[in-house]
Amino acid sequence: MRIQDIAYIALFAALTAVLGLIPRIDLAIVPIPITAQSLGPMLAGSVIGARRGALSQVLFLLLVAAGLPLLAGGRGGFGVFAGPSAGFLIAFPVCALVIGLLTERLWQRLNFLKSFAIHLLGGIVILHALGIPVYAFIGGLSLIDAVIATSIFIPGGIVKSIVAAWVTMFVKRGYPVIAASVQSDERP
Amino acid sequence: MLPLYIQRDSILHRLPAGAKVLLSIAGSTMIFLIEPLWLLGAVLLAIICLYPVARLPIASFAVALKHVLLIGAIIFALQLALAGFGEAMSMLLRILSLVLLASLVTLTTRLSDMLDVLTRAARPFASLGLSPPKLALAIGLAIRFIPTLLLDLKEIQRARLARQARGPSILGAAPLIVKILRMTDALGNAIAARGFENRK
Repeated sequence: MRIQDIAYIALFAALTAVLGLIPRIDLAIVPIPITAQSLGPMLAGSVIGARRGALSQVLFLLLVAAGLPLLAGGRGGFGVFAGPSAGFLIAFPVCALVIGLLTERLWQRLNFLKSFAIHLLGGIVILHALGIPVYAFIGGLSLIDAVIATSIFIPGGIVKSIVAAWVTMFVKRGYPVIAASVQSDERP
Repeated sequence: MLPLYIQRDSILHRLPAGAKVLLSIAGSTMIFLIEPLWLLGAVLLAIICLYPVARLPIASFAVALKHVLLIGAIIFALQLALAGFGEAMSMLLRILSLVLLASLVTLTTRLSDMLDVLTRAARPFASLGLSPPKLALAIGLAIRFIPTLLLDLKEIQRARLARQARGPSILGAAPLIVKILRMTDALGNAIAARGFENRK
C-alpha cells in the first residue's frame, strides 16, 4: 500500500468524523439520531474506491472505539458498540466496500442516476440490512418492529444519497481519484 | 476534542488495557445470557459500584448515562407496550449494564494504550497491506486531519456566504472534498519523499 493510499484512508476517516459534527436532529420515536455522518462511508466508497474506502471506515471505528468522541453528538468509546445503533456502525465499512466496488465497476459509464442508485443500495439497503438485526436484538424487538422503527431514516438516507451522487459526479469531473488509481495499478 | 479518558489512580486504571477489553467483552456476553431479573439487577449494581472503585467523579457517570437514558426509556416504553413489565425491565437493566460496563473501560484507559490494543486487534488487516507502522501513520494523520477539515469547511461556507450561493450548505462538501484530496496528494508525496516507504 502506497503512502498516498494511507493518506486517503486517514482523510476519509477524518471526514466521517467531521460530518458527524454537523448539527443533528433527534427523533422522539426512534432512539438513533439522524446525522450527516453516514455520508462518510458513502463518499469514502465512491471517491477513493472499495478497498481504501472500507479501510478508512475501519480506521474511523477504531478511533471511536479507542475513546475519541467522534460520533454525532459527541459520543464515542466502547459503550457505543454495546448500544442499539452498534449494527449501523459496523455496517460503515461494508457500505463503503459495496459502494466502492459498484462505483469502480461502472466508473466509465457513471452518471448521476447510476451513482444515486449505487448510494441507495449501499447507504440504505446494506446499512439497514446490517443495522436492523443488531437493533432488534439489543432492543429486544421483533425484526418487523425494528424495520418499522428504523424506516424513519429512509427519507434522510435518500437525501444523503442525492448529495453523495452529486458530490461523486463533481469529484469525477474535478479530481478523479478512482480512475487515477486504476491507471496506476495497470502500469507494470 | 478531548478523549473521554479520566486520569485517576485506581486498580482499574492500572489493569492492562487488553485485559479490560477482554473482560468487558466477556462481561457483555454474560449479561446477554443471564435471564433472572434479580441477577440482572445485581450485575447492574455491581457495575455501578465499580465507578467509585475507579475513583471516577459522579459527573463521568452522568456523561456515560446521558446518551443511553433516552434510548433506554424509549425501548422500555416499547417493550412495556409489546411484551409486559418483566421483559421491559430486563431489557432496560441489560442495556444500562452493557453501556456502563463499556464506558468504564473507556473512562479508565488512556487513549494511547487503547490504540495499542486495538492496533494489535487489527492485525488481521495487515494482509490487506496495513502494517503496524502504516496503521500508526494513518491514526496520526486522521487525528490531525480533523481540525484541518473543520477549518477548510468553515472557509468554504464563508466563501459561499460571500457570493450568496444558493442551495443547502451540505453542497459545500463537494469543493471541500476536491480541495482536501489535492492537499492529501501533496502530503502523501511529502511523506514518501522523506523515505517513510522504505521502512515497510
